[in-house]
Amino acid sequence: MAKQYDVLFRLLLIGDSGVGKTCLLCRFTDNEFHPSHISTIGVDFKMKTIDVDGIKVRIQIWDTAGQERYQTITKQYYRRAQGIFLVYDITSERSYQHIMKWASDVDEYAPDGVQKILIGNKADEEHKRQVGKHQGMKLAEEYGMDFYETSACTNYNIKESFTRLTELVLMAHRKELDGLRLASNDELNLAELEEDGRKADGTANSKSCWC
Amino acid sequence: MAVGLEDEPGFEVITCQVELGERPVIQRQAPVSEQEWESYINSEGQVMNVDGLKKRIFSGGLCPGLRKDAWKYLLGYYPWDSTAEDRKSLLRRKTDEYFRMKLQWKSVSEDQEKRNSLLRGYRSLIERDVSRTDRNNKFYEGNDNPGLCLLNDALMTYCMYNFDLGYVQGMSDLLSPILYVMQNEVDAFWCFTGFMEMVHHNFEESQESMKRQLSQLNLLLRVLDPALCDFLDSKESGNLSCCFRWLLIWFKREFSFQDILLLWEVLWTGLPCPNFHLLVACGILDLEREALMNSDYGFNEILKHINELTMKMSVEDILCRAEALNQQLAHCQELPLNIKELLGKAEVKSPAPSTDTASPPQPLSPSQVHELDLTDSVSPSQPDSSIEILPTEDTTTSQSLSP
Repeated sequence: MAKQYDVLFRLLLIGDSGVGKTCLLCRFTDNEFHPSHISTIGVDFKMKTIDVDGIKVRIQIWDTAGQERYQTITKQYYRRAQGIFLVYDITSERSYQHIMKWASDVDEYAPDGVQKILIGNKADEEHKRQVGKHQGMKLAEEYGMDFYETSACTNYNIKESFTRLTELVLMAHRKELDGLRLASNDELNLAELEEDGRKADGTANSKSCWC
Repeated sequence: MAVGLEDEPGFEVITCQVELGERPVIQRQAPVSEQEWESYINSEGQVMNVDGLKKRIFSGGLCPGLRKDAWKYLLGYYPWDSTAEDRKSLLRRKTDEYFRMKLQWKSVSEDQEKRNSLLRGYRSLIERDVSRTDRNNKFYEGNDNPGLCLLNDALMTYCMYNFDLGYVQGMSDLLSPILYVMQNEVDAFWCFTGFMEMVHHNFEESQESMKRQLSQLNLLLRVLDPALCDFLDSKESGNLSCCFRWLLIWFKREFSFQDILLLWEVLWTGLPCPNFHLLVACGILDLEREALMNSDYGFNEILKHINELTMKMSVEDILCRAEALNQQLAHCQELPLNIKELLGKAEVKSPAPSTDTASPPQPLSPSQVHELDLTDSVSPSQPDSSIEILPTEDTTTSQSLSP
């Protein structure tokens, strides 16, 4: 049986409520857009396989509830992720201001070496814009992240941003990937690898938790 | 009851094996009709035999035409013993009170709001959620539907009613069916506050109540279905966080809109026991146990499976299962005390039940229940009586190549 993918890993979408995390995800995985999508309660995920430089990458993308108090639930997923999208809404200054908080949560809960990019979504709503593109770029630069303005509505920069984060994760795991090229029949499960790595060095003190 | 404490390094589990006896067959009854409802009302307009009526609502629900009236009683807006005259003056008072609170947020100027980040935050969350609540329902579809404005205004007014809690995601899901049934802003608001009295703990900042309910659900499942419980534990899903959405908004996203109307009126009766909503959750898990266990599901697939049950279940079936489980537990002679307390079946008086919920969760003593850990635990686990599964450490697997 032909293998279905070469590499598997997890990405995570975080950011304030209503910035369009679920819409970004649906546009990317199903090429659908529902302007009145229901809000996310708890967590959910979708899968998609993409081809990056000849490598078949299976990505599992986790979508989270945006309101802060539900982080009790959602932050469990941070450390399972190899890449994180920090999303704000260009029509909401508040959601942009909060990126600082989201970024510090990532520092606290995500594994070292997790790859991050900044997304300013709803770029189609120019008439309601509150956050300039340069502000996004500046913030991304401060944090050393790549930056994309996107629109799930018009399908602008969706594939580009998801592919970019995927590439960053692949680059960060170059060593494992080189191994993969030598033994090309194997599949590399970065998600599992990270978890086993933590178990091996004794840092995975998970009680009956969901990670 | 056999309590077995397996003491393997890094693996510790308590099993409760209780003889439950055969599961009874439950038949749902026909909904309470308007004629039947009338038979409970005396000449003063007071409801007689409230307990009998609640039992009927529990076992059959209400016919749609009755909901508008009956929900006001179930949600504590109308006292059961109020006369028609009482209700007239209550309505006047509550209408005034509502519009007074509504005026409070309506009269905040743009300039004032700039200096009120809390109010600004609530407003923005509400706007975002109103635009994505039940938009397929006729009452909320389209962009200029008056239903959207009513939903928005009642939620904003709730922020004034309970500014400490304010607006938290999920509340719009709770108000939407009530507003749909009431077709009236003031009535819907006061019924909503009644519902919130029962569930406001779910939305609190600390999320302690949600954590407690998930661990209570785990306790119940351990008695009702230890095999399923062990299976979920082995897949790192034992803390049942996959059921978070069920408990937060009382299954609102799991059933069709019409089914939710029935489910909620049944739950609002407070029958047949406290925390019956947890047995509803057990009923769903019971329905799905084969699908979950006879598969090679891992953590991800279990979550996916649970999330995708939405709109696929029959509420009548689930209610029958939940009631059957309740009867099994009620007839069980050797039920652990903490389960008895949880379901109000203990004869001993439990300490200080909270006064502000219709069916208060019974406090469980710390030695009886271990709060399942929803946070990243930072310290190695302490050996105690907690339900606790540590992943088996496999230090040899430095790279895991999936098959």
